[in-house]
Amino acid sequence: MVEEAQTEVMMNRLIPLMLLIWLLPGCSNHSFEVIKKFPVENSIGPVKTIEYDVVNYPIWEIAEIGDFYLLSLFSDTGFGFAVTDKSFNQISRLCRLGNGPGEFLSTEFRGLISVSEDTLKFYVHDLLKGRRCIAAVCLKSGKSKITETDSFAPWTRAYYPLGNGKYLISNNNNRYYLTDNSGNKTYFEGWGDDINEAVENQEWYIPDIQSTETFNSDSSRLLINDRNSPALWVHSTDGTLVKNVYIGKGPEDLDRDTYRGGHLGASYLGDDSIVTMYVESDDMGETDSSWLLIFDKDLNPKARLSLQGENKGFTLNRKTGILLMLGYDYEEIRVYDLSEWL
Amino acid sequence: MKKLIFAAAISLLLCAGGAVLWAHVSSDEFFDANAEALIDTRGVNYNIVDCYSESDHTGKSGDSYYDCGKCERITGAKGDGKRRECVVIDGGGGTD
Repeated sequence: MVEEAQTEVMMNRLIPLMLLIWLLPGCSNHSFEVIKKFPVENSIGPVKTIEYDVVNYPIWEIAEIGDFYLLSLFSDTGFGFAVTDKSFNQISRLCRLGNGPGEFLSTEFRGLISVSEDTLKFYVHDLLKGRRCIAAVCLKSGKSKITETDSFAPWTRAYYPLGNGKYLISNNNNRYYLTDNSGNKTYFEGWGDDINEAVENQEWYIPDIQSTETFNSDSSRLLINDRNSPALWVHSTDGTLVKNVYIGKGPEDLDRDTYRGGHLGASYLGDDSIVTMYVESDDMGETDSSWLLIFDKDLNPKARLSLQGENKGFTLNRKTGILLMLGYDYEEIRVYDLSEWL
Repeated sequence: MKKLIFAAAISLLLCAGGAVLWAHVSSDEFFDANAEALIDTRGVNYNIVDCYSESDHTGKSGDSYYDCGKCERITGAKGDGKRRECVVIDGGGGTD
């Protein structure tokens, strides 16, 4: 009887201790959700298509800015961008590519500064050279002026001055952090986990995650989409993780030998919704399927809309819900209407 | 009973020691078998990276992957097709 009582006391002490030991490792890693179903599963087709001269304008990205298009051109054109009217009449071709003075090794449109009747101004990043510039285009003459504003390490994937000497940065190793003029570095929640700086700071290193990001309308949140996996994150801009989701399979179930896919575009829609374009290939890598995924602002799933064709990216008017899609296997711009999800 | 437990503990220790010895011998054999290759790479810094046999040309400069053919970093594209490994040698160039 005494021995049984002693055993019971020991078990009553051991069980909570074992539970604590089992739970503690889980507390040190952030959690994620795997989304396997959406409340609405449907297909979506374009409401119209826009034809354009694919030979003169081989574009990999398009931005609609008022009465103009800003076209990101493939590098074999020798230029980074073309600005056209809505009929694709060229107004300007700018950001010459090359290694000469004033030329760019690479170009990415990184946000509109302003547009008026006379002038279009926008940010350009040269990822390979490591610099941020303002491009100003005179919409009447077509002349352009490039002004360098910041320089940073080559392969700095994200660089956002936040004011008061603070910056949001992601370098070649694709880990987001906040820094200030004194050099203090605070990683966004989860992005500093298991870091091996000795390896990741090497020139040859390519991270598994290659993401892009966009702010919401009041810049209080950052949406991050991995172009190489089903992962999405929403963070507050102080770095706190709001939510991390995976579509279909979580990180432990992803077989990197056979998985080919990712979110090739992501945007806020209005203030309360998020849209991504997710692509996944079959095991042979021969057939791509793609979808527009709609979430609320906290990445709770709302709709999964299957698309036709091999799609490569989109631009979205956040206020109207009009989305312009580019594809690998079609030579037109497909226009989708997502206004019902505003 | 005590003698049985003692014998089991000694056996376990002997097995563990044997496993360590076997691993050491095996690794030496491995070293001998690849000595020539190791001598060739002595003094050369290299890194083994994932590479892909095909490419999706996205145009986005942040996208990059290693092409298996020359083991060189390709920018503006995502890797596709078969995933293998290749060797990047410090100072440029590579081999698969």
